Amino acid sequence: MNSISIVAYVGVASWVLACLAGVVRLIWMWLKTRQMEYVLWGGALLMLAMAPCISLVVYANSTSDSPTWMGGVVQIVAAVLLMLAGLRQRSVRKSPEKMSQSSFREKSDLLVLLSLCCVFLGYYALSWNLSAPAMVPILVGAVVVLVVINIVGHIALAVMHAPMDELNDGPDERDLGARRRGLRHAYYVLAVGIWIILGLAVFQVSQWSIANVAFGFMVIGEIVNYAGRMYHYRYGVT
Amino acid sequence: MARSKSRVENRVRELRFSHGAMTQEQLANAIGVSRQTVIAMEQGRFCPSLESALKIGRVFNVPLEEIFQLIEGQ
Repeated sequence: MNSISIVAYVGVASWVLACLAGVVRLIWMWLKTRQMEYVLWGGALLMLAMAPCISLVVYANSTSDSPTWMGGVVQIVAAVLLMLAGLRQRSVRKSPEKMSQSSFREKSDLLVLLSLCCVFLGYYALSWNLSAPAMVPILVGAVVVLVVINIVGHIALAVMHAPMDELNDGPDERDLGARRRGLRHAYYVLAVGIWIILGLAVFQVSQWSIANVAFGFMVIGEIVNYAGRMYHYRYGVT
Repeated sequence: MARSKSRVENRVRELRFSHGAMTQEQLANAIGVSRQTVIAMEQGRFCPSLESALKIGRVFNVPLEEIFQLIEGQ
C-alpha cells in the first residue's frame, strides 16, 4: 500500500472539477442545440475526469512504489473514441455527403463475421489434437473472447456511425432479404454436417469428437450465414 | 423453357433530382426504408419490393413503368 501526497489529491480534485465544469457547459450546449456531438464530448470529459481517480486508487492499493498509469487506460481509450465520434458527428452535420455509406447492420454483420473467423480459427488451431478435458477451457475462453470483441466492437461501431439517429431504425426489406439468403446458405452447411455426423456415429467415433465436429459445422454455418449476408449487401439483393 | 436473364433498371436518382433535389434520406423516410437501401437501389444493387416500388411511384407521382424498366437479356 502506498501513501498519497496531499498535492496529488489537490491536483486530481482540480482536474475533476475542471472536467465537470466542461461537462456542465457541454450539457448546456446540448440543451440549446440538441446536437449529438456535445453528448459524446461530455461523455469523453467524464471519462477523462475518472481516469486519474482510478489511477490514484490503483496506485494507493499497489505494493510497488513506482507510479502506475494503467488504472485509467480504459477511460482514456474510451475518451479518445468518444472525442473522435463527436468530431465525426459534427463533420457529418456540416457535410451530409460524409454520412456512412454502409448501414449499422451491415457493419455489425461484418464485425461478427470477422470475429467468428478469427476466434474459432484460433480455437481449432489450438485444440485440434488435445483431449476432451483440455479443450473445454479453450472453448470457454474462445466464447468469452468472442462476446467481449462483439460488445466492445459494437459500442465502437455505434458511436462512430453517423448519423446516430439511424441506429434506432429497425431492419428494412434489404436487411431481411440479406438475412434470408444468408440463412439459406447456412442451412446447406448444417445439412451436410448432419450427414457427416451420422457417418461418424456409424463408425463409432468418440462422443467428444462427434460433439466437436457438430460444433465445427455450427460455426461454419454461422460464418457462411454472415458471409452470405455480406455478399448480398455488397453485390446485390435483387 | 429456358429462363432468360433479365434485370430491372430504375430512374430513382434522376427522379429524385427532378423533384426539387430530394435527398436520399428524405426519399428513404417517405418509403420506409433505410438511406443505404435507397443508395443500393440507385446503384442497381437492390430491387425493391412491389410495396416500396408503389410507394416510390406515389412519392414522385408517376406510374411504375416510368421508374422501373425490365431489360431483357440473352
